[in-house]
Amino acid sequence: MSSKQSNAERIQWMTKMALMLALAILLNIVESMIPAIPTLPPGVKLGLSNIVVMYCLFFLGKKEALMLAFLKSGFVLLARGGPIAFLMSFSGGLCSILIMIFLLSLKKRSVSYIIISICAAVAHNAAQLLVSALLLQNGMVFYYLPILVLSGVGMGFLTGITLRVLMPALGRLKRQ
Amino acid sequence: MMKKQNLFLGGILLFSILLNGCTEARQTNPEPVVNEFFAFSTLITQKLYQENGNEVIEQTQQMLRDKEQRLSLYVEGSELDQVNQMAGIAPVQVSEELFEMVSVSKRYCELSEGRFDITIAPLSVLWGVDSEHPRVPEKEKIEKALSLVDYRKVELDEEKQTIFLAEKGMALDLGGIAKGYFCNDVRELYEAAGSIGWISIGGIIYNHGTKPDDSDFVFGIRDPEDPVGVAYVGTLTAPEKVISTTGAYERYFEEDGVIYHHILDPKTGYPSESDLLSVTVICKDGGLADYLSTTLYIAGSEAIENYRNDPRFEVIVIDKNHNIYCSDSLKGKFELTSEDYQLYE
Amino acid sequence: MNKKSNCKVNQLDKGEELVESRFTFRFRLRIEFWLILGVVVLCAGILLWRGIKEKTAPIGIAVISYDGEVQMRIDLSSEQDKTFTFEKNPKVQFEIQDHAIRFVHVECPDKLCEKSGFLRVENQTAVCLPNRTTLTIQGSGGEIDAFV
Repeated sequence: MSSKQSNAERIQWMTKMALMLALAILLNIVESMIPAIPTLPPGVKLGLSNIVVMYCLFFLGKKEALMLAFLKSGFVLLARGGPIAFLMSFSGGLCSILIMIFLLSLKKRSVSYIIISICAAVAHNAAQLLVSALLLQNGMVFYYLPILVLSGVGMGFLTGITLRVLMPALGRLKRQ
Repeated sequence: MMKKQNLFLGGILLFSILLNGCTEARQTNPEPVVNEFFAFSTLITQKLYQENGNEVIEQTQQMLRDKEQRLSLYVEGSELDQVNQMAGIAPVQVSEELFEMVSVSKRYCELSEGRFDITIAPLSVLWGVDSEHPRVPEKEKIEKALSLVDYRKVELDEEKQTIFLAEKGMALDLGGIAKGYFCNDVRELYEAAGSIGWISIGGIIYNHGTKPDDSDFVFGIRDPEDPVGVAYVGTLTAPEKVISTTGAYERYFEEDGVIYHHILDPKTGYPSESDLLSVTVICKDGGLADYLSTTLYIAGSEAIENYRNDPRFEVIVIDKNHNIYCSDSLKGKFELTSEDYQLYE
Repeated sequence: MNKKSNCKVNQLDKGEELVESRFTFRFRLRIEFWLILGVVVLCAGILLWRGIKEKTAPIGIAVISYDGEVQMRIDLSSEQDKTFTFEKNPKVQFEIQDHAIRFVHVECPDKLCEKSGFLRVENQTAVCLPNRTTLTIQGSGGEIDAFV
């Protein structure tokens, strides 16, 4: 992406970004409406919006994906939780994207999308756990690591499959 | 594939058997039953480690509530109330239980030379000691109430089983002895029911039996200077005895920046200005423990030596210098755990 | 002009590459799969072990702190079911039920504390940041039955 692009492409790009941002935020809101399960620490997100982020990373580029994560967190900051929630969202998003970028860049073996999705989700949760430990100055939160890893694997698996299932439809969108 | 499946199923089976085993262990030792209720303007807690725990709790509750109806200063129409109403007018015939309680208490008043006085009711009511809104009364009112405080004016007729308060306005308050006294009744109940557990009547504790793991009940002596009430100076075991602790920190209120606690000195009409932080008395006789802990507190450190080695009971006294005086017979039963306090040898 | 469109095309191609190599539903049992499975089994094992421990664990002591200072210490085994609050911060309420304790009816913006549910086992902790209140379970140490 560069300034040499034509206006049309730029607009198209912005539209796509906006669309994805809206979708990601929507998924976020939908997730938070689900009542928290008692055994899980509150704040454990399902990670549905990760589908959008993954799509963005795979088909639009790293910078776009990072931007998406940042904007998504920004929305959280403004509309929902305040600075702490922003930190949680961004750290999770950032880490999961970084892991995904790393995995994608492995030339030697082509890592399966499900694995990528799973790793992203787990990284997301782990990063959030780390941040909360730092905020509370308290290592006790790591008590929740096993359950977060498990839910990360589960959700990563689901989001990965969802993305795969949606591929044909998204492909059509892309080619416009 | 078959093998794998079998293995898997076998694993689940084994696992569920194991889990079951773990829950079984829990059932052989019944969960202790805990109960709290209010009577005599105080919180009564019971914890029993036995099968029929709930029944015993019910019985104890009923017994104590029943006593409250008959013997409480604050229950209109109770026997005690009737005696008080007829002060200066006529003797009132009472039940054996009340009569005995009052005669025992009067003897304690004599023994303590008036430091303990069951006619302190006018003062207690004036200060609102047991109420939600305690207050500092005016000097004149205190003096007037003081004039009505005199155990010697309580006339007991054993033959007719009557109690007569000689002067109008006098009233009996058994609050300083009742809680411990009733522990004796609870002991009988627990004994009859084969109970294992303890009861706390407003902080006065009686414990009966040994725990399922054969250990005695362990109690913590509160640190008098811990404002929150979570710290303790040491641990104590006192199998089948009543433990009564008295200290200013238990109940107090503040008015105009001054702290007034609930242990009124019957001779001054004001909260006792003792040089002690707390007194704990351990005794088989609950009434004695209750009365003595209050009296020793008021008497102060000068009285300690006389009571440290009395065979009928044991004491743990904490003075303002954080010294702890223990009866010799408590060796092995009381263990100091706080670094802020020291045992006085 | 061409260069620009080439860039875009390249990206598209890369996407197609991805589609081909990664999105084919070929579930080869590679090392990554086993790694993840191993982690899953490990975590599941930890959780199960904790679950068992919880069934046999002694009942603990709930410690309530405010501003870092301990306010109340409650022996959960000697309490009957009740709801209560504490002096320094009446905005926070606790509920004890069946030897477990939780935040309940708390006045705070996020209610994360309430969502932590019942605490029962040693080291379990719930915090209400806006109210500066912490609820944690300490091992009972077995020592004291009651205070005098």
